[in-house]
Amino acid sequence: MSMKMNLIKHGAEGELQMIGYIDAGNAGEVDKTLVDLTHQFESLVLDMEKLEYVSSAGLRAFRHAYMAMRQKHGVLAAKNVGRSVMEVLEITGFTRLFKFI
Amino acid sequence: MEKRIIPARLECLDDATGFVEQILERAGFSEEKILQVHLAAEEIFVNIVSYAYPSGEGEAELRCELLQTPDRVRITFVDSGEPFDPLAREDADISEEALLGREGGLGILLIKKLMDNVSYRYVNGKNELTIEKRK
Repeated sequence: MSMKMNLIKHGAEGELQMIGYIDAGNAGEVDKTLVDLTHQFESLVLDMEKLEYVSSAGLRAFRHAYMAMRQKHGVLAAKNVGRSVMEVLEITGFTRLFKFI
Repeated sequence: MEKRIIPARLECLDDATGFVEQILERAGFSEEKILQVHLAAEEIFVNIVSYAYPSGEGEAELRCELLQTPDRVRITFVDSGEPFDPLAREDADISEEALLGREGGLGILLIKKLMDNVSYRYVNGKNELTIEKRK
């Protein structure tokens, strides 16, 4: 499935707009992008308004990003999380990884 | 019943989820439920790709049927790998510690929570994992 990501920079804060589906086919690419961004920014906001779908492969990418952020005492935040994605985060306990703004 | 045989390779994931999705769309399932079944189909197909055939290539067979009273879809995923019951293990621990410490188990947890019924059997040398979702 297809996935697009757009980065907006606000100084030390990066905001990543995620659009489409994160599945096992593209989670590796998402993982790499997120970990790169955790190195660049003090805090990273994932705008999930247009993220329609995330599977367990995508959750693993979120976990890597969270751990990389935690190690540098940064913040991983999420906003505009839609119903389907929120359901997946809630079932798996992954709501704990994000500061919701 | 509609059947599809798909090579157990990650690049065929869209064939598996697409097959399921078009049947649900035709049957008039809501967008939300289609996404839930799509997710279950992905998790099961990816498990087959990852674990069913450690020594080489294999296939996954998907059997999809629409049933009534109540209106629902039943999808069975069949592989010829070693017997493996993914429902036998305990539900994944979702405490914070476990969340960070360990991989795996999340896919099956999602399937159990999002589907109305999940069952496994090993028959004629094949693993059959069946999910059902009400319309």
